[in-house]
Amino acid sequence: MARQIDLLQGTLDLLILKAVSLGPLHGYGVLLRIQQISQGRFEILQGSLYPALYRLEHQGAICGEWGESENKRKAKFYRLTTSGKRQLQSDTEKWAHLAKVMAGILRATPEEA
Amino acid sequence: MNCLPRFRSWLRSISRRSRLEAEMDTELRWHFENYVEQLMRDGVSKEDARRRARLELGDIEVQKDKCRDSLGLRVWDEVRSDLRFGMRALVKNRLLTISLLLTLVMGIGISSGVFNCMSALFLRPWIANDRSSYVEIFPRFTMDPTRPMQASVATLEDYLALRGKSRTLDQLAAFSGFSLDLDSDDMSTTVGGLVSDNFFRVYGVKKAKLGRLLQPEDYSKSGTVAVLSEDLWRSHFAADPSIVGKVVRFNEHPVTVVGVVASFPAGSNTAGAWLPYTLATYLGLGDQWTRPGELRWLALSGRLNHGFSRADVASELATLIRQQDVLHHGRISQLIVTDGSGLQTPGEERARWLFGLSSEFYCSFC
Repeated sequence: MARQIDLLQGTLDLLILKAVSLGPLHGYGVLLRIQQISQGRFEILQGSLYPALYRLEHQGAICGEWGESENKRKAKFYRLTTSGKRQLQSDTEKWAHLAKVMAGILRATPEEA
Repeated sequence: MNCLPRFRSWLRSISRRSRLEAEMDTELRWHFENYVEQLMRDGVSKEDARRRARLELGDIEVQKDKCRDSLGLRVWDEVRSDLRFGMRALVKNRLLTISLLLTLVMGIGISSGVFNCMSALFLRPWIANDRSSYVEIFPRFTMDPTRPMQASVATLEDYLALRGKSRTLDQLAAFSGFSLDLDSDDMSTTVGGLVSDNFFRVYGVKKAKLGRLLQPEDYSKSGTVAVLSEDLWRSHFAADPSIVGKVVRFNEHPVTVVGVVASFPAGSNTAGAWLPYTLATYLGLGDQWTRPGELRWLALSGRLNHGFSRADVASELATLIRQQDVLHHGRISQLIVTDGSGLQTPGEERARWLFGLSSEFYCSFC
């Protein structure tokens, strides 16, 4: 199993948006989906998951609807809203840009300085 | 940041609170149970699985609190519980409640009363309708540029020029107060007003209670007419219903009453009777009328034309008065345009002091 990476502050919302963008998921499913996509490299603190889900729902980025889970129990499924899609796109671009800039900085050699 | 979805979510949360709480509880417990089941499938004993789930997810009540915070319900909950606590305390201590209510009633009553008085005295013109378009114009002039300007009123010539040329003013009226001796044995006097024909229109008086208002034709030399105030008509003429058309004596000169107007507030331009300003000489008040360019005797008030502000009026009148100055060698004039309130009136230092002192006293008192 790959080494686990600590989550940077502010990344949880983006990860949730991404996970939910792949299809409606209940809270526990979001957790599993992120672990699956990150191949187990991201360990989500479960205590932070629901406050983040409620926060995103409050912002209108995701919306929750009650349905039946795979084990035939009542569960709340979250899906991405139009506003959430826009937020995901914008945050993804920001992250890509930040990663590029950071990589450039960290690759700097004494000769370039 | 778009606040509308947040507001909608907040409103939904507080309006369906019990349902929200139940759903939150179901969701968190469902997650807990699922995680426990997964751990058990991975070979962890039930007891260890539950302990580990509790450790990782945290206490469900704490989780719910965090979720409520995410929904913006914390402040609402705190305010609600404070209010509930306060109401309980008030119901318990009735004497305290009554004294608090009385203090509040008195405090609010006194505050609004004092503010209304201050506003009426200093912040608003003393007129009845449409204060927003009302203006008062105060001329200042000097004949010697090395000396400060004197506050004054307008000459007839300046008034006619400003009234004739202004585009920013819908109406510009003139008023000059004088001591009016009534034709009676008791030697009583009142304030008379020599006014322009549009005076009543500026103060929102559209028609007379009896007879008619002043008209442009009354300003010919033969027009020795007067309009009485309702107060004077009642107090001095016993509310005579046939007063219109009768000849009365003002300052020992016969004048025909053409109308009676109901009382209306006109600030410092209030009078017992109004007559055309062309009667100044006839009433023995001087020859201002025949010397239009010299004597300053008319107070000016008016109404803004639609779409113009007082600043526009000030700017336009400054240009017009400079043109008038050219006709009078050495004269330099200024026109101050105000909203007619005591605080803006030039020379009303007493009003400003009184306002300042009242405010200071009121603030200290509070």
